[in-house]
Amino acid sequence: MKAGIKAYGAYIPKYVVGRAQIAKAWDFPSVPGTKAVASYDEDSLTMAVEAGVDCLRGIDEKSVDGLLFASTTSPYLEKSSSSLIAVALDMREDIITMDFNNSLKAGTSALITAADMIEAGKAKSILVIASDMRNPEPLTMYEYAFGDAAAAFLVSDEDCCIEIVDYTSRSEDLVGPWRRAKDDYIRQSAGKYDELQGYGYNTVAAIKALAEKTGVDMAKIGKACIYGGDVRAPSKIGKQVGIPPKNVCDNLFMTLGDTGTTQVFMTLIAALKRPKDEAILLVGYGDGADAILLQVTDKQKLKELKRSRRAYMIYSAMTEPVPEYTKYLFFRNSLKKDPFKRKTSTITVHRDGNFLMRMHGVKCQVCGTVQYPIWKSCIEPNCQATGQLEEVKLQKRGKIFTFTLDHLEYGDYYETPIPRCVIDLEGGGRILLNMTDCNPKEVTIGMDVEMTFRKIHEGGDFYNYYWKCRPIRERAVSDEEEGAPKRVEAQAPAEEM
Amino acid sequence: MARQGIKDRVAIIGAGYSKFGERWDMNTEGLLTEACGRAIQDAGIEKTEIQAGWVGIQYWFTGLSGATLADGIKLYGIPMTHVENYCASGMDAFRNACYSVAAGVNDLVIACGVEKLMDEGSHGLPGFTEMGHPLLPLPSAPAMFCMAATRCFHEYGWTKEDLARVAVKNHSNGVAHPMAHFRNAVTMEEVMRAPMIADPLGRYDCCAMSDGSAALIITTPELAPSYVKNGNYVVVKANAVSCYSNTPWYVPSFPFTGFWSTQKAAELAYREAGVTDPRHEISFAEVHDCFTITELVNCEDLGFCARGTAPEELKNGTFNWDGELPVNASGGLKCFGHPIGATGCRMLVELTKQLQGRADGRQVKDPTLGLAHNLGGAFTVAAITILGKPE
Repeated sequence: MKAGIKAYGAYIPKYVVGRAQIAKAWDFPSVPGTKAVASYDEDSLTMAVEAGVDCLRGIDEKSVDGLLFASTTSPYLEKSSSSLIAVALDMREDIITMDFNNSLKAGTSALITAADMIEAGKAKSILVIASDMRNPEPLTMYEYAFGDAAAAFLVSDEDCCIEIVDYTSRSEDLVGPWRRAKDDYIRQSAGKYDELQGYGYNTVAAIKALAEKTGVDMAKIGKACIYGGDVRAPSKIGKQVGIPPKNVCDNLFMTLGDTGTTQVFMTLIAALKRPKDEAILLVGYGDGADAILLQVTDKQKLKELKRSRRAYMIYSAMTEPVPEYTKYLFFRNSLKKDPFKRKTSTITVHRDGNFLMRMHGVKCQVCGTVQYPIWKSCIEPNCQATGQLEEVKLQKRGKIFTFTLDHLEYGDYYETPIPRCVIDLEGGGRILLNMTDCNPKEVTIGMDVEMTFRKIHEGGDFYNYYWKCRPIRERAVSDEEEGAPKRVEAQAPAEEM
Repeated sequence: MARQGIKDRVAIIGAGYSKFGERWDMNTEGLLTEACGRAIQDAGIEKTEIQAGWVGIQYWFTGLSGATLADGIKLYGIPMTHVENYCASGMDAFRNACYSVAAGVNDLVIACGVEKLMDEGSHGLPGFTEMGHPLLPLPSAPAMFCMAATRCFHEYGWTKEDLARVAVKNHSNGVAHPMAHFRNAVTMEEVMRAPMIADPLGRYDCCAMSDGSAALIITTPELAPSYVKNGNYVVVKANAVSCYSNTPWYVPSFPFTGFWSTQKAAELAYREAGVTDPRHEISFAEVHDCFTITELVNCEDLGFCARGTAPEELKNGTFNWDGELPVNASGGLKCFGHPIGATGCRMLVELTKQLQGRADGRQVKDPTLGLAHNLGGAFTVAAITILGKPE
């Protein structure tokens, strides 16, 4: 049984930082392009949930047998992220969840693992999500480079549109970029050595091994999605292995930045804008390399996916620059502002998981009212029936019934004013959610909103996640308007600072 | 209906309050000593005659348990009870005290309220990081009421000017009150231009953080004349409390243009007092103007005017201290601030003195029935007390 890709999804944060903004802040020569940046209430885990939601549109999340999460920036060093993501996606509990961490090739490794599990008959479908939010040290090249995003593939044994044909992997112990548990920022000592002997050597070797193993002529590869830490790196590799230059896909460095483990996933998703019946090469790098051979099997289904997923097309077309560079520093807590800490309890958060994470409510069997959160008795004063509430899944979209812009957050002024929105959900239920990724001045009664999973606070010294609402990040996007892959002929950023 | 209501079964013979404001000079004990001492003196009793006490306090840092009152006035050994019911804490302490007298268990008791907020700083109501569910959103207090304002603006076309008139009216009343926190008049322009707290409420739309305390001495109408020789005491016509959800934003049918708790408490109180036409039978009212929008909605919920018309009535002077139905002739929470546990009892002190014709601030003309109203939490708890003169 061959495994393949059944669906894809992606997430790009709302805000981008222009490299010119960074250059201006530090009085350096301007550099072209932008990079996507997660907001103050986002992290790799919340972005992964978004990508997962996008990937599973129209697919029953209860049909998925596993979730593999790949990232070099998991919020926890000890504690799984995949298990939390699976709950936020309202997946089953009798599934396998795994975290792939610590290497930039964690994404491709997770994809290979999922394919192997399915081919071995151990699972029918597995969601693979890559998400990264690498924190660059200000005033370094990395600050221009690192971007934040997440991307997901649903790997399955049926209804696939891309077959996962075969792969090769290499492992090599070379201290390239690294970050110790105690480090805030990524370090790198031997830039050029790593570029040639680490990155260059391993990716080329993995691709050549794959060509030999499968007998596929690299000149016939239609789309090559090769990881690269800058805009030109993938082309250099492509050239060495005989892939036609025009078939080496834009790694989106100029628009999103280097999105780490997410990069090759997002590169492929962006490249699927114009699906063809062709062979695709996916190459991940980091302490070795993975080269994966894919084959498009259902062009029509890919076109349907393009229409039904926001993925790269819509999310990249709906970004906006941060107003000031300092806003970006605030997002990254580089300004070290102490956030408020709310009293919390790991026990409460676990017990209430069905309404906090899974966003379940109840429907009263007596009066029919759908309500939130999960009550034991009906909240409507005209009913108040006890013990006749059935747990139901709530829709994550609705309209604002009333709202205010609150200039106080727990007695502090943290990212205020906060729109507090009372929302009537589609399909029933009323909820109060804070709004994020918005212009507070544009909030109105009747406005359509959708839920987004966010980091709320760090009370109890753990990450307390919950849902917020935001203006719906969706609109029709024409092919021309689509954010990339524009062939931006970038000047390479200055080598030294 | 209960076998007997509270009407005409309890009398107030002493009332006193502390100066309200930034009382950095004293703690909870000092505030209680000041207010209770004045009430005891007003009643002309010895404190040792008091048989039981109730104290309304919301915040744990003000004090927990009835012992806060025992320590506060140094009256040990008798039953003392701490009542917490959000902004209605003080009025509910009074209600429970009334019931003990009406039940014939006690002859002479004290009901009081106190809150010591100012030691917590000035960033809005304190303690929000400690309260409620760890993750479900908890808006600031102004934000809760703003959600009502937004909805009223939407449904009735009310404006920020409509809200501002409440602040202007109450501030102009507060000027005359020696116990008020603020005694400054404000102009429409000042209110409109004030910094935003939660859209559309600016600083002058919100009551202040304050410290304060207020106390009442209660007995039976039979015993009252022996304490108040001239017969100028006050009797309770109704007590009512009504509780709805802590989280009305989850109730799909909640309108946000009126508060069920107030409506229900009003229904109960009017029935008990035998009031059928509140607009004409209630002489004056102290209503819970924690925010300007709250006063407008309250006036409608209490049946003082038709739904959606409160701004117009206000503009026409109906609620002025010398108008048809004076609302917050004292200056209200707008001028006294809102030491939460104290506010309900402060209103009852005001009602008592008004009915006795010895108001410390603006004296309303020939009152016969006074109504006090608190609204606490997220429109969650309402308390209403109606006081009048003995038959």
